[in-house]
Amino acid sequence: MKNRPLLSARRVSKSFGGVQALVDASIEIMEGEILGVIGPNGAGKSTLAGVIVGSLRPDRGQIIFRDSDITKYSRRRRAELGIAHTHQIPRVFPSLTVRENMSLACSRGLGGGTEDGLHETAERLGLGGLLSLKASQLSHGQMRLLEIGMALLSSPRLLVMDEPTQGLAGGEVASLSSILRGLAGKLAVVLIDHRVDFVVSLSERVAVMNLGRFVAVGAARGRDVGLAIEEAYLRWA
Amino acid sequence: MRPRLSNLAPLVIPLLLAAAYPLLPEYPKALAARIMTLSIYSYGYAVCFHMIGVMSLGHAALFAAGMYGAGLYTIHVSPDPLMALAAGIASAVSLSLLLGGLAARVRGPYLMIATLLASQTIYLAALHFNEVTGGEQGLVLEREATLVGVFRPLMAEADARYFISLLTLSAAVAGVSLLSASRLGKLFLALRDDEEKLESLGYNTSLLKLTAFSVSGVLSGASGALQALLYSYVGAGYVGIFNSVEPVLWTLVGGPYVQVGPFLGCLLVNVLGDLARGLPRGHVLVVGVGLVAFSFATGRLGWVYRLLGVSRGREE
Amino acid sequence: MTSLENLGLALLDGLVTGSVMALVALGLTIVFGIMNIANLTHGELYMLGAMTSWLLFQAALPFASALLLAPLLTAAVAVAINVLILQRFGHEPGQTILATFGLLLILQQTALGILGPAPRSVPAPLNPILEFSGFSYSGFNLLAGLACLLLALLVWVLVERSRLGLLLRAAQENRLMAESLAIDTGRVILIGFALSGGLAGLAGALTSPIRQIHFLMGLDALVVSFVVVVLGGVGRIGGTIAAGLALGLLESLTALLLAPTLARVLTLALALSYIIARRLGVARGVWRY
Repeated sequence: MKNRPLLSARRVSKSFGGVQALVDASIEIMEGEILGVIGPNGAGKSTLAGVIVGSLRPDRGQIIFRDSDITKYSRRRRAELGIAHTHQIPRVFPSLTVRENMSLACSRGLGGGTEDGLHETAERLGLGGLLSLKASQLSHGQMRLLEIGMALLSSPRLLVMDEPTQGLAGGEVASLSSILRGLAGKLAVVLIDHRVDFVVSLSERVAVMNLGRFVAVGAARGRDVGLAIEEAYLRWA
Repeated sequence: MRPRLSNLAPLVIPLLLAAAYPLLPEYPKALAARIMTLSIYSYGYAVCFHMIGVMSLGHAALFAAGMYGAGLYTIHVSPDPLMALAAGIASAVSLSLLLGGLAARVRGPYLMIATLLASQTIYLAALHFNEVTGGEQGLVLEREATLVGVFRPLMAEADARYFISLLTLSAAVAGVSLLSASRLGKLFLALRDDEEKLESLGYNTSLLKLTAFSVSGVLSGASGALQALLYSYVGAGYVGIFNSVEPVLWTLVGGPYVQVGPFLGCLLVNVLGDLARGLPRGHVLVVGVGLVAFSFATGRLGWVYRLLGVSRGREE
Repeated sequence: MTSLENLGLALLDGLVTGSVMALVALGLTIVFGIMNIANLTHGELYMLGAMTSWLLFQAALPFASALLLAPLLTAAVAVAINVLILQRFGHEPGQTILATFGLLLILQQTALGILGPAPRSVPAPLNPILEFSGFSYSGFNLLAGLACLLLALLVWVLVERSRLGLLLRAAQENRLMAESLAIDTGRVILIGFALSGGLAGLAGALTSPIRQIHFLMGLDALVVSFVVVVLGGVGRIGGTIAAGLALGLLESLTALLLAPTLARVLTLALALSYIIARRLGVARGVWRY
């Protein structure tokens, strides 16, 4: 099942004003794999997430998802295809309770539909006791977990996580790691983070970005990737 | 997220109003009836402002559509008040889809300006087609054809106005309370909190906005239609920008709870306006000062701050 | 008159109206178009200019005094609105609209107190009648229109050719960045408000002899200004002037065939369609359907 790409970005470019955030970037994400993306600040990681999930429009290039060209699809259509997203700063609905947030993610119908996975997911993320709390009352780390929970409840095929460890304490990072390990094989994850050890320990393959390009893609603990990381960070640290 | 009976607690307001009826002297009774009619419009406005966080400056057009719809139906089609009410609501809903479409495509201050322009367009059209609408002078409906006329054998005009507004207001309060507790109501709040996030969960946010605007159209239109059918008068005086901005203040004054706030705010502002009636257009002055005061108050009132979208700083 | 003469009259009238529209809208372009502050009192500032002219006429002062004092007064009012109110909450859009809408109503009431409910008028200081082949035209109308157009062009040159335009844009686009470049954004915004208010007041005074002075006249000026600002391409001064002239001509020519109110209804519908088609307020470069 891991032999064909779930999503591929083909020679994608995007610039903001005069700044080139992505330059002819190409990458493939296989079914069920966790692909780590690392690189220094400004390497184009968040822009990559944006063009995959549909919040940004690439200037050039194509995004292919399961053999169809989705470059022109809106965020909503991509969500319907099973592309989910967690943001650098977690985005949840502060006026709603934790349960309501998760329930909206479960199904898009007006009726509400099944909430089967809701309790189980909440327990797994350690939010079980907080279900009736307003999301605005959560700590930063809990909001992060809630956003991840919402993404998982939307039963995605591909989850794009933009800097999931940002603002998390050491213990929270560890529990996030175990949650992500539990996902292995069930869905594809693009894991974008600046914590190299975190990404390398979780991913099968790692892509190193610098200045809007992929400078290396390979096995997480492979030699190419190691060298590329070293170079990217040494030059820009 | 299933509606429960306890969600209907806000109905205590209409109950109090019913209980107050025998105690009220004549003038306050007439004022209360008037305020109840307008409160329905206030609830309609709150569906857009409080629930989905869209500040429209063109809602007078919806009120006017209800008023003209009902009034013109009575004059030209048939003197049947219930059908006229339906005609008023239907025309307001059609117009609300237009405003909702605007809200789905335009954002920020441009949306407020666009809604202002839209309602001014309707106002000028009402003035231009004065052979149909009666223009600024307005049209007086025959009493027999209005709701008041139908109830005349049973009760005095003032009583009919009081009870019919009370009944409609109760329906509006119940409807809005159930809506805010329903899944659709939660989706509205989510839309207000973060439209993009809701989109990225796969929801059609444009459709949600259209839905909210049409609910708002039903309530605003019903209020306008009651104006025609209880007071036997329709006129362009109800279509101006003042009538668009007044509900903004009503819902702000009323506070954060959408079940009771629109009524409380409408009551307070109108009572204050009535006290200022010694001044020429004193009511307008009250609303003007109130709006300026609220623009300052946002620093202290978190929910106003959220409504006005000030706290929507985003990474993207 | 023959239809050709009607056309000549309509063209002249359209150019005059258009020049006035352009000058009034120019003030709004500076505050709303460039600095992104939706000041709904702009039309009332125009009304205040006209009202000042009427007050000075009542005091038997010459028309020239109105041209001097009206813009000073309205610039001061605009600055006061900015300093006392809008600046306090950092010109946040929602609060700005709330406050300026309230002020709009308060200014209307003030004018009602001073002018009374009936429309007032001011005689033109000079009024040569210009004879064209077949029709005549008021020389003062033409003069006022020309003055408005020249002023508008002057402001265009002033803003585009000096550092002011750059500063105004910088103050809007990135307040933090402008501040780190040691630009005093508060002061730049103040200058923007003074210029904007002064232009509206001057236009009000200049046109006071050719318009009815009424406490509700500001709303129409506001609505037209927004239409002109939007159709001219938000924030573009040259575009605003062109749109003002075009709109004046369009309305005056359609008024040959339709009632003026209906012509205005069509203009507003045009502006709305443009706003919807351009999806104003929605960020560029981001997918939206």
